[in-house]
Amino acid sequence: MRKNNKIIAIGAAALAVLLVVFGAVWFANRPATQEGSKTITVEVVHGDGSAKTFTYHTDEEYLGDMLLAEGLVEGTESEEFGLYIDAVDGETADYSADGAYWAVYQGGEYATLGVSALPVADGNSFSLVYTVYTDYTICPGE
Amino acid sequence: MNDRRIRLRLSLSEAALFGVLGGMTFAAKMAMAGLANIEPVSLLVMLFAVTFGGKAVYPVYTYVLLELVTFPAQLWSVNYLYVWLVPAGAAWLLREMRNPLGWAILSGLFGLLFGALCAPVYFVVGGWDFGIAWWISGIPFDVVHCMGNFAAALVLFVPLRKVLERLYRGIRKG
Repeated sequence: MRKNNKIIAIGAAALAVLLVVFGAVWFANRPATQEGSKTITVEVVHGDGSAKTFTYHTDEEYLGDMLLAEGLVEGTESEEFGLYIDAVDGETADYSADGAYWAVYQGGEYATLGVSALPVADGNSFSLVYTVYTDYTICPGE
Repeated sequence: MNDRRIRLRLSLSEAALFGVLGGMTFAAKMAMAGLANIEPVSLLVMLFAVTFGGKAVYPVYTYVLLELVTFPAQLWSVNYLYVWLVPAGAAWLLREMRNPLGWAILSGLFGLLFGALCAPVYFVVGGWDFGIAWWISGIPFDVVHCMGNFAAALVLFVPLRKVLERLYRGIRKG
């Protein structure tokens, strides 16, 4: 009984410490947003390889909100993942049909956040690329 | 080795029970899919481990198999191959514990560490920076996962353990 109480006390302390540490890590690294007017470019690469570039002046702070406000994308929103982009510039990607989805790049790099959590800053450039998922390997290059 | 094989050998009624429990786990998870990061799987995996010991791998991996055949392969599919062994192993090690607060803390810890436990796959696929960014961006979801797991285990672990142990005793006698 005493051993169990000790384990519970250690577990409770570990949980409290981890909550504080994780909270501090997230707070220190949370994506910074920028208020006010910003000029953003969005390149859309369609399934046939054709590309269009759109320039927007926006007060929105996150890419997902801006894309919806500008009417460039359509999508479904969930609490867990935010906005999932279904269609861009009139072209729909249906993952369940053929593995197609809209990949998001920021400054040429694959975005590590979903569009709802991706902040926009003045001068940012994004790409929305129609991508068909065919296969993946655990290690790149395998 | 032979002992281990004997310990993992299933009777027909056990096979049926584990199949049903794996299916029920999947159904419960799907039923709660609308509640972001609040899930019954952690609780059930811990219950299977304390009740069935090593045989808990059968209902756990029945559930994992149902996930894998239902949804297209994604990186989380790789996570699911190993991540549930963590709460199962921890629960088995602490199987003598009867205090619901202890189970709530264990389940909460697993929820909080879920992103960190999944991150190695993202390190391998996308590199260190990608893995770290992926984990950090998910911390708010891990905190919600922690709170949901804590509450569910605090209320449900002890009574469900009694039910499951009674059920399993009955099946083994029969």
